Amino acid sequence: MSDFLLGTAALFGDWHTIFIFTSALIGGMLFGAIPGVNMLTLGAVMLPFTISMQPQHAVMLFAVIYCAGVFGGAITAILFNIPGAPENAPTCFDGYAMTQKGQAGKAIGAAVVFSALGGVASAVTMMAATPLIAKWAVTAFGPPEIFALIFFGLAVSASVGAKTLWKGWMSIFLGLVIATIGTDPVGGIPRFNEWSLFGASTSSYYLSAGIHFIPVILGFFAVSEVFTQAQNIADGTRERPQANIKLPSFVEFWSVRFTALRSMVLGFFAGVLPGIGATLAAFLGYSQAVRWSKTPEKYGTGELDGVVASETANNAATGAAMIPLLALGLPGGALTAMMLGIFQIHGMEPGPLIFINSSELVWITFAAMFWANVAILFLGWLQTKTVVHILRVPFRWLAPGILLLAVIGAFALRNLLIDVWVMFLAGIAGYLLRRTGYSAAGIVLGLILGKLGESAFAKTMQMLDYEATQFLDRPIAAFLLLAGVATIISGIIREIRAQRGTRMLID
Amino acid sequence: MTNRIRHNQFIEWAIWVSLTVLLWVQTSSFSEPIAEFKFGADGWPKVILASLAFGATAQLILNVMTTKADQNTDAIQQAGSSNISTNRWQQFGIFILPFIYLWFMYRMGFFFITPIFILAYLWILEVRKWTYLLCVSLGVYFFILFVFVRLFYVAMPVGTWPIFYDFSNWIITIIRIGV
Repeated sequence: MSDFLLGTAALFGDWHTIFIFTSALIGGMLFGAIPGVNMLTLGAVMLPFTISMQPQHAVMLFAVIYCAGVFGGAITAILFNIPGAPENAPTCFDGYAMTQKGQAGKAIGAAVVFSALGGVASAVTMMAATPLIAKWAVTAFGPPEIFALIFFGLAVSASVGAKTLWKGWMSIFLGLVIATIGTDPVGGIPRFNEWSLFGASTSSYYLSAGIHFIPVILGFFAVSEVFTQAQNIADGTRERPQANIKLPSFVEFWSVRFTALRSMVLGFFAGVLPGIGATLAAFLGYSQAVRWSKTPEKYGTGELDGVVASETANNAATGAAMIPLLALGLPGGALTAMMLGIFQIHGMEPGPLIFINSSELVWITFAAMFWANVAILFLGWLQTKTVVHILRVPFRWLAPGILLLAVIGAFALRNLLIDVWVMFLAGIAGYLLRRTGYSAAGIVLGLILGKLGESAFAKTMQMLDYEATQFLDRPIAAFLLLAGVATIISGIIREIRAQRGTRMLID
Repeated sequence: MTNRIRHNQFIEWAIWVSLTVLLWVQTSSFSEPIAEFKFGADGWPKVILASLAFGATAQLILNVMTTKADQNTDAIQQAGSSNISTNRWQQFGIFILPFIYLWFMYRMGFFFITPIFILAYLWILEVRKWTYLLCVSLGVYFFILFVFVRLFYVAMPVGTWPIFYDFSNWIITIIRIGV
């Protein structure tokens, strides 16, 4: 506690530190909320300037950008179905549906409160247990456990957003297939970049780098949504959502307490694992909320629980991601990798000794993350009261702007126009697949986790000498695999029963 | 009606299976052994493709078994949408215009073609007042230029046709005056 108070005193002790903290907070929220740029863009822009900063200020700056950026993406996800970052993608499912029902204020209010709560809880746990958790997570979680976790995550997510379980699975498989384009993770052999059919052949240099998930996400969510709404305008069936700024009541907050708690635990747990991070945390939080709900069929239609589950989990992952970085020097994602760069720039080495040698740096960072999440609560409240009014602008005026933001977002990724083509093609595919009951979320999840899953699978097989039964010797991996299989079987049984029930009702 | 639903389900199945077969055939181009990995580069994609074909077939079988249930839902949806009339050209424009925009963006550059695209898309979305068309087009265009070109230095395509290339660079210079 005294360390935390000292960190807080150092944070608010001089105007220079306060200025860095506030700028990072506002910058992170803005960059998180603007499609086309994100917290990584801000991080990349700021990295060279950290050379002239004191190390504790530089690390604190990035930690605050991380917290604020993960929250910022929820706003555009809720208002326009454009996730500011991949970790906000599950927020679209119910957040945007709530906007269409005239409950945008409620959705953003819930995102603000539970992002802050998830972040604060994560920061407190991080302060209390960093060395202990880091040691456990890194020794207990090898490639077999990561593969099993991904398998379990996909198994529970199969029903999210799809009309039937089969369509959910097909969506995930499609995402997994897209993820195989590029090069294989073991031998680096190019896959699907040379095509031959009936004697004619072609090859693509672009495909050898794989299809990046950002244009696909923008296509499936933002572009397909513009197409859908434009089609509704053409049909004369579009109803304009109300710009309601009514926040959730205390009773509504209380009713989602178990969802929030579950997502905090899942988010924190996923955040600790290197390479897993906030994206899987958000999907896991959402899919588990569906799994434990008494009314799972309501998810995707504007359920407050859906927004709470996703936003609590992705913010809970932020504090957790600092644990392997600080305690072991293992960055879990791109922004934490930049933070590792800061340590190197200043000639420091993260690891267990950092708690002894650079205690001020560690505690100012912890305090900054804690207070950044508290500040999100107030700044987010102001944001809720203001940004919801964007919905008063007619959609036909906003549509070209949304498409342009998506174009810039896809292009700016690698300065390749072909990424924009991929995005528009994904937009058309998303439009058609959504109309036929497939799940955009499933495809995106399959695409994001596919590469990670294949890599973990290959390492696992090499480790276990291709003996799949050795999975059973590893309790965590065995538990996750069996839980995944049980989820699949129970899902299939439920689906068949539901179809039989419908038939009997009609007969 | 039942025949039509079955027909649609078979088409859906055929699309998935054709996609699977097409991709399976392509795996032969990278079916090479890897010294350190027994399953090779094509093992994982083949398992997923087989799962995709299995899923499509299982879906077809279950759907055909429960066609009656779908028939009723379909009938209700048909009744609900019977009075909707869509202009085919408008529908075509909604989906095709972004691709035309991209084709020209490569040649004429982002800076020249973007205001024309905004104007055209607004027109397709039934905005007809010239004041709205001009104000929204220019407002969105200059907002995008200010935020992304001036503040964030995002490098958008400048075009390959000489006149448009010069125009794009002129716009960038103007927007970045004083930076």
